[in-house]
Amino acid sequence: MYRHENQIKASRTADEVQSSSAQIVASIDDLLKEILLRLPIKSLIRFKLVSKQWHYLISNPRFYSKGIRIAHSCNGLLLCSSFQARDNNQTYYVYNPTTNKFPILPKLDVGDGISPRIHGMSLAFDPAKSFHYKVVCVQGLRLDMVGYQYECEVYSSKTGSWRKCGEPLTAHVNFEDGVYWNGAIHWNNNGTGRDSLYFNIGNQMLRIMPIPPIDWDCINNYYFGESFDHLHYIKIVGLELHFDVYEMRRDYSEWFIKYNVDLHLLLVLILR
Amino acid sequence: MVTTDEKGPLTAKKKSVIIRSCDGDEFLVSESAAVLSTSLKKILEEKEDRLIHLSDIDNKTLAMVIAYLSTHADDGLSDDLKRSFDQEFVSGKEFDVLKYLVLATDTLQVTCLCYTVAKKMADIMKNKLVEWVRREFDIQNDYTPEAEAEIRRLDAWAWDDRQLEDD
Repeated sequence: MYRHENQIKASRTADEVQSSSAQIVASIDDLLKEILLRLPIKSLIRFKLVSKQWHYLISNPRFYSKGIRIAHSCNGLLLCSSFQARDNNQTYYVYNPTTNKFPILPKLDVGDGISPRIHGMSLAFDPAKSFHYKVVCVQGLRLDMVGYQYECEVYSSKTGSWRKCGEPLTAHVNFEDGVYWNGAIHWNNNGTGRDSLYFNIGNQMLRIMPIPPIDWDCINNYYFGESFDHLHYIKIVGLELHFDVYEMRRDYSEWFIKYNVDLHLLLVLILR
Repeated sequence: MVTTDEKGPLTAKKKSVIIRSCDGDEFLVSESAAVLSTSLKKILEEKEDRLIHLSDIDNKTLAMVIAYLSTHADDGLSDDLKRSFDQEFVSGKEFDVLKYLVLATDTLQVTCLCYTVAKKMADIMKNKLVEWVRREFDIQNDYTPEAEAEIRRLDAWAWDDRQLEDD
């Protein structure tokens, strides 16, 4: 008789587990966070030196938050969730401070087994165009030690339901802190030199975009955001008072330098 | 090989499930213990079949997780006893063993065990050198010496007197 076996989906083989449990633990950000959260602050600060990925995880303010968290915000709407790093099935709701309403989003079908798991949730809302909003959810399926296969799902407040979108894409990206601009959500990868991606809500395509042409090694801080319909990237190096403001071209061909800002002049004015 | 869990031979009434490790060992586990794993619970809800194959958990690790699940599913044990079991469970375990365990808790989605193991790993790590951490997690240093010096300089207070360990 044919006996059907239930197999918990896992993309790694036994050999991989044998040889690189360490690498796998280190590559699962959620798992790593669970360990790092339990370290004393002094150890945590020292471990920023382990690698750029660790530096990013530890420096991210979201790392320290507990309870309810704001997952994302866009033009006055807030996307909130119950915060539990390892919960695949948390509740998301969209809070509108002007109406004081917070409709709960329908639960996503996150499948069985370990993955897929939600890697990021972003709001897309432009009150100038429509009072309806969309929520883009990125789910990731672990492929191997470092790679994920990502798929987007879009919630529309108009239809009140989720819909799977576009083709899956393999990449190594952090899908927190998406920025809405030009009808798309953009994810930049702070200093890790990983891919930067954007998801166009109109044509439902997930695409790679250029990363800013800067030296990733010396970045301690950065700003990535939209302002007056332009997408900007600002790098802040150490305690230097000079920084460049980059802007992305609307066709995604390149980042160009928009301003060179030198705060030494300001310093001179203050000290005078 | 079929190994019964700690509660001895199973009666006909009590539902059980067979879990097979990636290296082929099979474990007979009560359903009440299995469902403490969110992943196993989902499978059991969806399908009638009672054999679950775990393609990425070895027998040693699986035996540990099952011992944990069985203890926590035992209604006869008080919460205090379960807590002291948890302490006992991770004490003296090597970092390497904990790495496999924490991965297994990820696959099987056993949140409380994940927290216990993560805490133990953090306790071991807290006074270690950065080099030790890189070695244990198999991480390449991707900083330039200049960037490394700059980060040390900015957080100098964290690098003071402390005697850090490398083993």
